[in-house]
Amino acid sequence: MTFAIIRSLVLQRLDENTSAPESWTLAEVNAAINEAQMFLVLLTLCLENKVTFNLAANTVFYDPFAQVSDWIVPLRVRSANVKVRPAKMAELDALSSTWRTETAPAVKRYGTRGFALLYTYPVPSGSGQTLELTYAQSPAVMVNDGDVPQIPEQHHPALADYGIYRLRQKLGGSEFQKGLPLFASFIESAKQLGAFVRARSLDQRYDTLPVELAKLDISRALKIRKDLLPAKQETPSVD
Amino acid sequence: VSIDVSALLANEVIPALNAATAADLVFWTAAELYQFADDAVKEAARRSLIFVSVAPLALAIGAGDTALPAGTVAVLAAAFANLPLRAATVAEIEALDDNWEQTTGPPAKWLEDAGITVVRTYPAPSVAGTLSVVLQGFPSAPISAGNTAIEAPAPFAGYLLQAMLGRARGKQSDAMMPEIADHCAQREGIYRQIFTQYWGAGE
Repeated sequence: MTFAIIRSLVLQRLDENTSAPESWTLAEVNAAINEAQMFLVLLTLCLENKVTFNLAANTVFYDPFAQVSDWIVPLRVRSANVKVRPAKMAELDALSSTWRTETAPAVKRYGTRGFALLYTYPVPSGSGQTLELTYAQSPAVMVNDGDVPQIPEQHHPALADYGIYRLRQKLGGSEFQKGLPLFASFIESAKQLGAFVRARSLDQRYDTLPVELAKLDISRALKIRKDLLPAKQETPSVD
Repeated sequence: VSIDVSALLANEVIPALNAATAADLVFWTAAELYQFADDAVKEAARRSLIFVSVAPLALAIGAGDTALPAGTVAVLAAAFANLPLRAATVAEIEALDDNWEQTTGPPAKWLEDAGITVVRTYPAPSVAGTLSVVLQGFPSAPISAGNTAIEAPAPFAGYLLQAMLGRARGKQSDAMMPEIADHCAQREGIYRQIFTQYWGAGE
């Protein structure tokens, strides 16, 4: 499905004109679909990429965003065609008290903390050393009508489901409530894709696995608290 | 990559609040919405290890409490002159050395409870050097109209969006939608659970 087709699906199901909607702008619809893809990818880590990551002489810490703009988390690291195992800083402290200054022609351990801190051990003694970095990537923002979502095609309808639910947030009350089953449908799709990616990641011995959706407390986001809904207007009784 | 909160505000939050531009907002101001985003960043940064950085702190001979950079939530690790230090508490050091505040030598430990905004080593350094601290924190400059970029993976924008929308709809006004505020709070919670699973729990 193209971006334009998904947008049309969303607007048709909202009973709107597909080229000039009244209740939402096309930009809002586009943003909701892009948000859907971003959220699905965060939940499932279904997009990955492999790059050559440049190391600097005598440097322990790196900001991955400086070289990989669509970075989410690392999946696998190789140095000189050998897998580099992940290690916590405390483990490296225990391994060698001089780990921050030891040099070697190949990296043996790596780790990450937070969004944007990557460290390696040992450190390169000179320039030109690289890592082969496989990482979970963020999808590119869709802009043009002909753009195609990067997630597997069988999950493209889930983007329309999410888009409708998100646009209905603006309406509130019972109108919003009508969109919640579509959010549940989107989550079901994410569960299926996440389970597939998780099994594949285990087979590949990846260092980071997708979140276990079954362990997330999502249930309260799938329903609306009745006591918070606007009260229905009283109608005068006709006696 | 930087998330541009001003673009998020203009393209998604403001239209979702039934306005075309920030000037059209009746019940909120742009400054309030930026504040909502900043509050959400700090809450996520406190609960999860998402903003982690390394800061070099220059220690003079005999240095005591040394100020941590603005935006620090906790120290995760420390090394003096590239040698890792072990974490210790003041009580442990007091049990070890009655005169610990005056003792100098090669630092072997860092005190995790020296203070909320400071760090110190034991012993205090006998030679000047650099204490390299790995910090859990949040961006030191608050999100505002003048500072709208935040370095985070692109899907983090969805978290900020839900935070801004939910807090806006929770504000007492004629446009209050408590059911949307509650739903957005649940969505924020889902995002924070994901952050914790991928990057670890904070504090």
